[in-house]
Amino acid sequence: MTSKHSGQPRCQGMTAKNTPCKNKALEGQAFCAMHQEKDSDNGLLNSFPRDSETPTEKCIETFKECMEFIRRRRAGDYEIDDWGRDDELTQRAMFAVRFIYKYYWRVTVTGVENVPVDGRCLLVANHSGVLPYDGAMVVMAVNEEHPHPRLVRALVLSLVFKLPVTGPLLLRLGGVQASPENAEKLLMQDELVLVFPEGIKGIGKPFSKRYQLARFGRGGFTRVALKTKSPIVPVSIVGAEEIHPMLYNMKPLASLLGIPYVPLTPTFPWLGPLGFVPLPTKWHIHFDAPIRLQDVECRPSEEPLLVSKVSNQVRDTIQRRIYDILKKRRGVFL
Amino acid sequence: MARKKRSVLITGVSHSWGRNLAPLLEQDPEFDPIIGIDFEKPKKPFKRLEFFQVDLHTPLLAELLQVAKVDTVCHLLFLDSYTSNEEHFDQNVMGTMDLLAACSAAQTPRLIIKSSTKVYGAQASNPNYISEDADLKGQHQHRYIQDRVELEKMVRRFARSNPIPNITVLRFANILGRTVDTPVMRYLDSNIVPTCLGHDPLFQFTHEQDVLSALYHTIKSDVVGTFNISGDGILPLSQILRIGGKIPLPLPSPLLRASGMLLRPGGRQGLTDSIPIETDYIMYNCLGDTGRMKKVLQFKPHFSSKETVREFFEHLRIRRYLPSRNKIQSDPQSSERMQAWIQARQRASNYLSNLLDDFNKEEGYDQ
Repeated sequence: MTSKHSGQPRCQGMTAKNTPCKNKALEGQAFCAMHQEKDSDNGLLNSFPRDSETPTEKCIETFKECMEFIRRRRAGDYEIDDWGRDDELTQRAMFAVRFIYKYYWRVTVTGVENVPVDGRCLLVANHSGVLPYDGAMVVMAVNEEHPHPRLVRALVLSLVFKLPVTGPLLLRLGGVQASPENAEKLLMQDELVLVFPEGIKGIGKPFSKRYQLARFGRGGFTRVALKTKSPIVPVSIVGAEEIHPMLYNMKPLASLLGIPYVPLTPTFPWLGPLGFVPLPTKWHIHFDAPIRLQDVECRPSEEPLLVSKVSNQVRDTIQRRIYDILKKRRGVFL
Repeated sequence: MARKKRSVLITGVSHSWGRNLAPLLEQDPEFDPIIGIDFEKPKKPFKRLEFFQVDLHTPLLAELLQVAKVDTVCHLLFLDSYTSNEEHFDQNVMGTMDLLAACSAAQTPRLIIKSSTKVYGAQASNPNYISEDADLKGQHQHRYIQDRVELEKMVRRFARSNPIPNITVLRFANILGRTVDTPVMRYLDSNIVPTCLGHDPLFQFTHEQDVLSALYHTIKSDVVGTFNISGDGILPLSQILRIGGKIPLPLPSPLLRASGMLLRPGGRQGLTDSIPIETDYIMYNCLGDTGRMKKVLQFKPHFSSKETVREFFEHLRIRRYLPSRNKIQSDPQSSERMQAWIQARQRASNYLSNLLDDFNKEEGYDQ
């Protein structure tokens, strides 16, 4: 079966019409790429009995695995890390978040390569959307799009930890109570930390003030970054403002419940539990180039000025980037 | 290299910590003399420790410290009480005040005080790991926390005005073990454990043996300062209860607080034991930062938090099947002695028989 124009042997396989295959065989093998693949596939199927492939068996396997998981959880046989994050539980919750990330809000991520591959770093983002979904989306963006996925520790307002259910839940899913001590300790451990300096002023702002950044706290995040010499990556999030448009804030009810705001949105009290469903807006998350603070040396007397300078620089960068993205946005839901 | 002999005074040797620490110091020849004071009689006699049954208010304390040239005072006397108890306050806080005064008058170089991380207070605004320099916010209904906070504040004030003695404060996280009686231990002891609905705080634990070795380590070293001491790792309350196979009884927080108040009328002790841990501590985190313990004190706990919890629950389960302590009591030391005696006897008889064999061989009487 040698060919006339080259020494390379032809493929040994048969085509669908039951004629010998005319393709050249692969180097050192008897079949061409097409037939070889098919053949090895057959071989695999022959060597492994089909039983593990049937849907029933798969179902039973999954079921067994689930029962084992439940048994271990019930026996208390699991680990949480130093910050209260339960990795196993988070991996399972990721499934739902990934769906929302990909198909509900269709998040577009740009500039993710600006997040350093290793070492400490502080991500500073704008906060919006009544409920803090934007934190989960940034965590997901780094997890999905970054060439070397990293764990992001999101700093969460301490009010959340005061309320029942939300506190333990967010702690298990990787949130850390927002305080300068925690941020400093995390950065010292070379973690990637996400912070929303606007805090409650940003997330609870009325719909009319959307995409206008609120005051950046008291610049505490800059002070921590300067102290730990961590770079700051400004993160701009567009799309989160419209998921729960807050038309009115029922302040008396909020103060009665001990929470900062009770929003009136086009859907919230009127549609009952459906009001909790956020609108399917199109999101865009942009990571800007890191602001390096490693080499910044300053006298103690100059520090307050430096802190306010860096804070303003970060705030301006985010605000400018948000306007850039908004200029190109064709529609809220597209 | 023979080190200089050190003289140690321990307060509260009749109570559990002093009683367990004393044998550790007694077997170390570096410590001589060892003096112990307490207002109760010890259950067992000590080997080397010189015991005086006095309370901390005794006017002779300063003279005792001076004459014995005491280098280190280890202050372990602290009475836990859930209700306001004037007697306990008198011993805990006023007694410590007298002890400080005596130490300062006798120019005692060092004072070690055992305290608890509970003094930081459990609050939602706490950072995950509280550093030793943080404010003491432990203002609570339970008297034992209030007394500790008051004691520590007093010690701080005192240390600012009097540089001698050098004061070392060891703040231990929740202590669990076989022999000690701590609020956390009582809390986890019952089969149904009341928890707070929607809250799941993180806990740190120290094993009782680590408490003793930390105290021993601190007495041996010359470190000064305040240290949080705890085993590695943290556990959420839900996981602790699952490991122990306990049934959680989630109650909303207002109900928990109210029950704490209602069940505590007029300082009656019996009812207050229903929830022996303060409501705040089963709602919010109160974790100490142990970085300074590792770096400055250079102490490494032997048990992690999880190991401590596991061992504690194993002990709880097996406890029911053990014979009662009062009837059958075998002393580990005497069993050791017995073994040594048997071995000596065996060696002697072996030696004799060998000697006899050799003698027989030499004489050729083998056949």
